[in-house]
Amino acid sequence: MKRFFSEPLFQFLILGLLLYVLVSFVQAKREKQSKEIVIDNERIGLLIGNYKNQMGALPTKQQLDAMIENYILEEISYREAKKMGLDRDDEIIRRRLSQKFDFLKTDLGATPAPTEQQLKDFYKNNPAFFQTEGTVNFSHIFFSTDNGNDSTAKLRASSVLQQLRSSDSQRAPEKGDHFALQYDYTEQTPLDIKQNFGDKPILDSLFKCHLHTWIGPVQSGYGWHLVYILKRGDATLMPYEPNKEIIRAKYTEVLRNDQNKKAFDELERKYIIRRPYLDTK
Amino acid sequence: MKLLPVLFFIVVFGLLSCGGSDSGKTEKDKKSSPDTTAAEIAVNPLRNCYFGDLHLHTALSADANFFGATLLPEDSYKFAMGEEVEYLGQKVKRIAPLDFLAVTDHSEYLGAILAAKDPNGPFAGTELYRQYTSKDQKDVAKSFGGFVADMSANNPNPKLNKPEVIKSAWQRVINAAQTYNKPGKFTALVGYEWTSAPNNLNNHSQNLHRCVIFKGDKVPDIPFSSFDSQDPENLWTYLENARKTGSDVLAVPHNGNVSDGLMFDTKTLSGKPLTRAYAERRMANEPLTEMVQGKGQSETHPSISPNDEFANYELYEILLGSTERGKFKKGSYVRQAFGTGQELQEKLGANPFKYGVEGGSDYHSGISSSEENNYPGSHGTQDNLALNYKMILAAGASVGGEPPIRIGAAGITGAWAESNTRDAIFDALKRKECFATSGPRIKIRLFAGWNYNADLVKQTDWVKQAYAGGVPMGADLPAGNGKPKFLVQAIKDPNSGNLDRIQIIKVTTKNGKSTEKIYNVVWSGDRKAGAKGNLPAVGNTVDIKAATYTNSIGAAELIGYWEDPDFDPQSFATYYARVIEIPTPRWSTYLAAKNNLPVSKTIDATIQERAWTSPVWYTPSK
Repeated sequence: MKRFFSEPLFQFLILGLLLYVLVSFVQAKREKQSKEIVIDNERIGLLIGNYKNQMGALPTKQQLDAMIENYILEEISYREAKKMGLDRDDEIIRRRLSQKFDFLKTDLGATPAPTEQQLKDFYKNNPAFFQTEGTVNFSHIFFSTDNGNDSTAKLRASSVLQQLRSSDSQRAPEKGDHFALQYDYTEQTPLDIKQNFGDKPILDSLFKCHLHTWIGPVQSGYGWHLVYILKRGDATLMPYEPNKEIIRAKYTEVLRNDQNKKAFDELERKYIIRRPYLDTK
Repeated sequence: MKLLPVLFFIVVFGLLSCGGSDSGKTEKDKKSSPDTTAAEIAVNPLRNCYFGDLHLHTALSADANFFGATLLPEDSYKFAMGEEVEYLGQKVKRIAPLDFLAVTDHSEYLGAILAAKDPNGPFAGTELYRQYTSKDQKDVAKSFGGFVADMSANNPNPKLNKPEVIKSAWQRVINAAQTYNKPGKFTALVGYEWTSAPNNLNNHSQNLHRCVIFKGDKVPDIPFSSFDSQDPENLWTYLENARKTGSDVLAVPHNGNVSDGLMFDTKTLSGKPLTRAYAERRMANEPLTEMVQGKGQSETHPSISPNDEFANYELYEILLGSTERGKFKKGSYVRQAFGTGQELQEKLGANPFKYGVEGGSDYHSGISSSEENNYPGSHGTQDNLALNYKMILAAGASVGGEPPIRIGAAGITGAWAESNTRDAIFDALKRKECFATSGPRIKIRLFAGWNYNADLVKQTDWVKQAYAGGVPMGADLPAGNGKPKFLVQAIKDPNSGNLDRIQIIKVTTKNGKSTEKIYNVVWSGDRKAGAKGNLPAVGNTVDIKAATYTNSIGAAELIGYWEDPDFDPQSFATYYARVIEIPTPRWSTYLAAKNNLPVSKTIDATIQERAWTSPVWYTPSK
């Protein structure tokens, strides 16, 4: 028996057992600690400082909240990676792992190509993503204010308007001055109007005034105009078939974000988030 | 036990990294095939005017990143298309969108600083990451100082200058342009900036920067940088090789004004005399130069052109990153180079400075915000107008030498193209049928021919007749008889001031001697030109304190006919047009008014914005 105890193999086993118990104990304690993510005032200060440094301004409440959530996600991925021992391995692998952690999570669940039906449903259920801008078709008459004739141009426009109101003309560029660009415009979006006529009162008139009647005088960046609106296209849903590629891209993007969020939510359940910074307020 | 997940990750990563790059490639190939929608895009053979910026930096540029830029190429394209983005905590949006954009980040350390600061990036966990993300002023100074020293010595830090990082950032640039390129609606061009700035005797940088603009997306997998070579001739070799294996490409030299006389030098950078081959090669690779941008105009200087009453405009004279005013009497300004080029042409048989012109912002903010009354600053935290307006109005601090108040809300490029596609826009740039503006979207046309007449501009189809009977800006006037005749038209930007006048500027050369002359061609109101052709000023409606003006002076459109009264068939001649707006408040005046502060004494409160056409050239027949 004595011999047995003095046997080195036995001593080794006992030592091993002791070591195992000790390590398990320490690990259990560590694991508990590592489940806690603490957002204290110091951390908030760091986040704010960081933002201010990069953006030159203080974050809004909303931005700060987003930053806190982002910090939690980052901390979780960092710890998960660390748990896997990624910080202790070959540097290249470690680098790649941390670089690609987000990418991995999104693509591990590899977004499957949507079926035709899925794509159609997605398009139907998310009209906001696929709205086209409103448009306007119109004809106009131009009254030049060049050479300081601002008030006379407006008067001339008003008097032409009187004539036109009692006619059924829908197009009469010859009743005004020469205009260097076009007299007839189709499918103009608000941005087109800002480019072509300026961010001026004419923009509002074109998208708000009655159709099929002469309106004005309205001012653009060039001078005064009388405008006849022929048609207005409301902001509509872009048709499905010709825009499939755009819809598919959006589908993948949304699905990825969803998957990402789900994956993180799952991980987040494993953690206890403490927010002492809220207590002190 | 813990080995298993690691192995799993390694295996998955191995697969993913291959899969990732492969799928990237097929995507690229697919998109570089001819536009499938090309058939639906309306084509105007008489060409439309499109506006864009060919010079813009994002957080991928090392210096912009140090200045606190956070926006990336994707944001730049969105902003240019008229979408709202967040810049320095403020929501910003253009009043009128642009039609095209090339994001041109510095190729030196492309994306490296962004990567160095990325907690998930390739430098994570290294000393470099710690230093670049440190808030300690010593570390910040060390990082920025190191960058400046590397650039100044043209000696990259191997720890930061990683090809894999640069390649990945370059791919990001290419992908962003692909994503936002919408044929017929918006053109996104792939580009970057080659940032050569050899030191002068005082160890100050001489700006020889060039922006590189590709026609398509079949581009080399890594951009050529000044770390590879500071000599433009070596950049041209790279461009020639790129052209052989992929998309057509051109380079645009800029900021001759701070080149210390080197940009339009009469010898090569390595000190050899210019040759005919050099001249032809230069023009084949870089047909355009930047007439105006945030860091001033490079048209001319009041002391070079004392008879030009509009020459004292947005001057920017301190060499970049220094306190030294560079040499500029020769070799720095474009108008003078038009003469120097002709002098060389007399000797060599080819003109090395036969440049068309374009305009860019060169902003280091990620946003091309060149509207005077909508300018939030352009160099990140260096000139954050919302925060540091007092310091800026007091002409404090500096962006690479000059105080930020000297940076202009400028400029953009106008291109006359059949449609808004990569091919059509690039072709317009290449044939130099394009022009520069100080920011406003002024549309200017210039045609030259031998048989035009004064009645032509009164006809509705005058543009068609002008193309049929002559050449547009950017072209050579073919041989002819009599005097050359010109047609010019300018239409104002409906969001900016009215037009004062159109001038034609002529640079002639004979027997090694060049002279310049400015002709007023057409102007607003009933002003009478004096005996020498001088014209009274248009007036000024600006209320400086309120930062307002009215368009009660000037014209919305100017159109005119001109024939050269001093034409000498034996002289070389470069003709270009310049249109001048009525006085309007400068951005710094809007800033002062908004904050109820006095305007800055160090800079003009009002400016006369303008556009410059690419020239038309006349060469005497032997």
